[in-house]
Amino acid sequence: MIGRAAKSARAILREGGFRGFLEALGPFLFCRQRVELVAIDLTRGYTPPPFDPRAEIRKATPEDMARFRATPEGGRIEFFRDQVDGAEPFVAYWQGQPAHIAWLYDSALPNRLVRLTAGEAELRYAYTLREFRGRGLYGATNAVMAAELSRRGYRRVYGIIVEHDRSFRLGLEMALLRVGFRRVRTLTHLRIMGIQLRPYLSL
Amino acid sequence: MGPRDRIRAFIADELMHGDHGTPLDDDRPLLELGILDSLGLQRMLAFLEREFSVAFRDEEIIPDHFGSIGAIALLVEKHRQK
Repeated sequence: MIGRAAKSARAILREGGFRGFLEALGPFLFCRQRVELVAIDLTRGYTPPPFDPRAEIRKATPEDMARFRATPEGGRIEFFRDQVDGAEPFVAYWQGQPAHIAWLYDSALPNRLVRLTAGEAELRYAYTLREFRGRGLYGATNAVMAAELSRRGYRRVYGIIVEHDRSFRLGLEMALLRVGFRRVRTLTHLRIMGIQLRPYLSL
Repeated sequence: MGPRDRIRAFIADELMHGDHGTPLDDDRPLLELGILDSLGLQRMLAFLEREFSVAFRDEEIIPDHFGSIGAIALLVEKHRQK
């Protein structure tokens, strides 16, 4: 855990400097957020809706990760969740250019909002590079990840909508509902000194 | 330029960064297609408030009001008539 925290701190320092580090420290010490949980039941299989053919979405290779991290925004923490948590990356290219990254967490990994059992997974920390926003890559990539989980025999995949403001939430929610996620419940997430106290649900 | 065209231009230039391969008709489903995503919707609200001097309540931020250029323009018109 200390190793992961150190990696996370290094990534934050790399991205935002000392000021960014201090800003990130506050939510680490105390964080209380409302979270909307959505999910897809994969037990009957899942086929993603069609998406723009200019997008190419796949599980990331080490070469993909190197390309994404070399982009101007590639220093952000969203590009290093494999090093911080061991999460599995998926990437989307738009007409051959790095455009979007998203991460898959299964029950063996830390830093989740839901207590997962075997056969369940959680999708988190997606990020679209500025130039490629407004192309539906968030929903499309989550759909490809859900299809991959279905292929692997997973039973359920969760999506997380952390409340910022009403408009931010609506944008995320619509993208997830469109590709087949359904609302499960709203919960309150409480974390102190990096330790999640509530709700850490078993659903 | 009327509200619809100003909203259309904002989406094309600021949110889609000039991706003119995607048509932006009045009825195009912006939320469903992810054209208006989470950050895009935040920026859209800031644009509408600045450009048309309107302010929206939280309960007005629903798919019916932001689902298309036509719907957004109608909402703006409604506020400007108040």
